[in-house]
Amino acid sequence: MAKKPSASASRKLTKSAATQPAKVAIRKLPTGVRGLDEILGGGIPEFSFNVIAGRPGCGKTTMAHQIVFANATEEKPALFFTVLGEPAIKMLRYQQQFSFFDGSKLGKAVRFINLSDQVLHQDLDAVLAEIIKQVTATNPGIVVVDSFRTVMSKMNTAAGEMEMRSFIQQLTQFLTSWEATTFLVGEFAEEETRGNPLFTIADGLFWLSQKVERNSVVRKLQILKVRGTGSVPGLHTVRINDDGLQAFSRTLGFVLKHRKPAARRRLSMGIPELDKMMGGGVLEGDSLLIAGPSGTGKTALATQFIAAGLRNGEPAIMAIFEERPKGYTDRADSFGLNLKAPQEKGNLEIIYLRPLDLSVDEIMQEILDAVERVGAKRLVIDSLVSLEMALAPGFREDFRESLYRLIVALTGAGVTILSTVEVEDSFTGFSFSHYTISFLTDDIIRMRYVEIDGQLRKVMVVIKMRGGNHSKDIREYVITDKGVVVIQPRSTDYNGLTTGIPTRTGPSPPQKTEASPEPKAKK
Amino acid sequence: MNRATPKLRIYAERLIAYEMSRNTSSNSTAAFVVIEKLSPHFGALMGAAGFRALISRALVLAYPEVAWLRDLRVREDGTFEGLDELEAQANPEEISNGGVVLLDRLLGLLVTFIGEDLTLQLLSNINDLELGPED
Repeated sequence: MAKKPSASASRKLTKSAATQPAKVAIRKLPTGVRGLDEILGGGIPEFSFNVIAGRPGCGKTTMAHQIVFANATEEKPALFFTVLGEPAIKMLRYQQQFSFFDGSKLGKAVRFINLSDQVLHQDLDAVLAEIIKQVTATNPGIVVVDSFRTVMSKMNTAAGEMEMRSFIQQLTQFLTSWEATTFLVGEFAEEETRGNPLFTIADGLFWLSQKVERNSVVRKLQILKVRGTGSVPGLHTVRINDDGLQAFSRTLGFVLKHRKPAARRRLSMGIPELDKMMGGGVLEGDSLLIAGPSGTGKTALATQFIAAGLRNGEPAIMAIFEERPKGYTDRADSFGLNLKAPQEKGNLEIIYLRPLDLSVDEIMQEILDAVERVGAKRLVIDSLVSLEMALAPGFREDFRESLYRLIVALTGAGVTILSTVEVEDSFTGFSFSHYTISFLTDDIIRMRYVEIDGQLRKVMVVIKMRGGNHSKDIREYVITDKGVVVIQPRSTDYNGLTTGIPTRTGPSPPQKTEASPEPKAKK
Repeated sequence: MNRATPKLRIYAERLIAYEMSRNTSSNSTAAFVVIEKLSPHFGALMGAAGFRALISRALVLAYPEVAWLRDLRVREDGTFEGLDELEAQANPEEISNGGVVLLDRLLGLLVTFIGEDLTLQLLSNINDLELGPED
């Protein structure tokens, strides 16, 4: 009779079973598409069966190539079956223009096999037999069939629905059993997904689309499903450039290593009187909006804010959309602020983003990359109006949402953001911005023109500061060779400054008698 | 118009030289044997019909230099129809030179489409092709 295990041994067994990993660990394969791994929650689950779908020109084949070149090795090659569609020789001609294309992998690690003859002249069994033959011979890690839509067209005409289901089932089972991660590429319309066995069987469904708005085209990617991993839902912007496809996660994939410090400091704005108005400066990790009409010195103030940070050892980024970087450094020079040296040392980057047709996510990514690169503590966005103008029309509706994500992500990581926004000076109102974005900001400073004593002068006021009390004074300022300088006196003799046409409440200063510029009419 | 570079011409000649050294085919038709050996490999890549189309184009490009190539046709399997008849009638050296021109044009077409690096990379993956010694 077998000896019963002792109580302590039983406990050990139980404990051992409990500490054993109960579930299989699914390895994630890199996609080679910047931003996509993050959207996919780390990459493509190994041995999964995926569909890359979308209309022509969305970047389906390019995405498949990037996945192939990112994973193929001589030991575990990638088989790329081409079926009618784009001739392979042209595909190679175009794809080699991308930086990810590695010609040295061709033939051994990456093998292209044309299935056109089987599809055109034979039946589905012959197509499957050829795939099985090639897979068996090469033991690939990645298998791509492009375009699978063509194979399915064959099924629709020559075979019944059951035969199609059977073909897909056999293909899936075979490729999965051979430990291949599979991608079927095809031009499908969204309505075709309903009741289609391919989309039911697939573990992953990558949907690429193009949206045309006015003269611009916006590419989007949606992960309709991916089994075995959590993906970021929603439509993500995709751009095709020299590096192939690049995906911009809706969430900006922003996970900075540093979080907002528990005890936040007051940071100098570089204008001593303004610091006093703000209760000692802007709170670290705040989002500050500077609103005012053209020429009121918003950019000058932003430059002083950056320079003050640099003096304090805080690296910075200026994302500018109007003036070229040289304009900024020259202006800083004229204020006695040297921005060139910190640029050379890598403590300051001035990112000039002017081209139209940019996606908001692309701009945000550019800014985030720069913040990471420099380790920036301060960021200037000059200006929100120009940033919006730089976007393709199709992205403008996403502007506020994306800006919100950027600001939340960056301020959450302790970066202090100063954004400027142009507002028209109405002489009846006192708006902060056209964008209703004040909810994005912790602090608002409003600059404006006022007519005083026959002069167009400038005043500023701190409208709000979430982090504490602030001066309620409307202060006059000038722009000198030191930049923006808030001048005395603190109190004014005027009412109605916010209207732009104040009325004097104090005694009028004596004025010189001046002759009229034109002779007055005689009585 | 010849799009092949001098480097590729030398490469073509070396492929043919190796084929001749194997003595498995007549020296005069060695270039055609090389092309026939390319067929399954490039056919797998671009489809048999795709590679046939490329050979047909190479033939046309070679006509101005080698008029008798007009008598050749490319079969479904990528082999040449009319080669045996020509071999019986023409000067072997003339056939050999014609073959070099045809292979040169074919490689030139590949270079035009996919570039020299990729063309050489694909050729180097073909096991039954070797390069003869450099002169």
